[in-house]
Amino acid sequence: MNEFWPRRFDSNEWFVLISLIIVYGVFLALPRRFPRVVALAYCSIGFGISMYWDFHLGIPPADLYDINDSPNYEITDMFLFVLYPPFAYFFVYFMDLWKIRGLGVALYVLACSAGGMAFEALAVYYRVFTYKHWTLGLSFLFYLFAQTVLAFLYLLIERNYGRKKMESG
Amino acid sequence: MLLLLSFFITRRRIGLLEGIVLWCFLLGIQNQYIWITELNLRWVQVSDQWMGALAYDGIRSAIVPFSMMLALEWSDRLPGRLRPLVWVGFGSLFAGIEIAAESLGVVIYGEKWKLWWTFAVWTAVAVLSAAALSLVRSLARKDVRP
Repeated sequence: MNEFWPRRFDSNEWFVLISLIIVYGVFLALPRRFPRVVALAYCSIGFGISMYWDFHLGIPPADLYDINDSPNYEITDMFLFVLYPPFAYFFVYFMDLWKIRGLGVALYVLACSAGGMAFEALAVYYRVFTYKHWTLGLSFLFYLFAQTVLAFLYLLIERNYGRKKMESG
Repeated sequence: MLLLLSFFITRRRIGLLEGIVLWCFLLGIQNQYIWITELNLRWVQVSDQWMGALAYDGIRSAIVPFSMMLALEWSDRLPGRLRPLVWVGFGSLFAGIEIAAESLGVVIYGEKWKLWWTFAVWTAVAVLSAAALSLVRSLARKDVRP
C-alpha cells in the first residue's frame, strides 16, 4: 500500500504517540462520571466531527493542509484520530463537573477553543499538520463551532437522560 | 426529502445516543475507506470538482446514515434469521446508487476496481453498523443492570 507507513519515525510520530499516552492516561485515571453509553456517545462525537472536517479540508478539492509526512493516508493519521475522542470527553466531563451553565458555557467554549488552538500550534510545530492555505485563526473558529455543537449535544443528552430517569423512577 | 420525511414519521426504535454513535461510526468507517482506497490505493476517486464532491458528501453524511438507521429499525422488527436480508438489500441499494454516481462522474473507479466490490463494501457497512448498534445496546443494558 503506497506510503501507509511513515517515511521516517521523527518528531510528528513522537508527538502523536506521547500525546496518546498522556491523554489516554488522564482519560483512564479520571473517575467515571457518565454511563458507559453516554461516554461512548461523547467520544464518538469527538471522533466524528474531527474526522468529518479533516476529510473535507485535508483532501482535494479543498486540500488546505497535510497531516503528518505526506498527503497520503498513514497509520500515524489513524492514531491522530484516536487522539480526538478523549478531548471531547474531557470537554463535557469538566462542563458537567463544574456545572457550567448560562454565560459560563460561552466562556468555557472560548477557553477550551483557545486550549485547542494552543495544542494545535504545538502539533504544527512538531509537523503533525503542514498548512497549505490554512491558519491557526481558522482552527480557532473551527474549535468554537465544534465545541458549541458539543456543548449543545451535552445539554440535549443531559435533558433527555434526566427525563428518562424521571419517567422510569 | 422523502428519506427525511420517512425517517421522522417512523416510530423511533433508535434512541438519541444510539443515533449519535451510529452516525459518527458511519462517518468514521467511510472516511477510512475513502482515504485508503483513494489516497493510497488509487482504486476509487471522488470527484475533485466542488459540485461532485458536495453531491458525494450529501450521500455520505446524510443519505447513508439516515437510510442505515431506517434499515436497522426495520431489521429490528424482523426475526433474527431474516435480518441478513435487510443488510443485503441495503448493500444492493447503495451499490446501485454508487454505480449511478459513477456514471455521473461523482465517483470514479480505477482500473483495478471490480464492480462486485462495491456491493461487498456496502453490505459490509450494513453488517458493521448492525454490530455497532448491538454493541451500543449491550453497553446501555450494562448501565441499567444493578
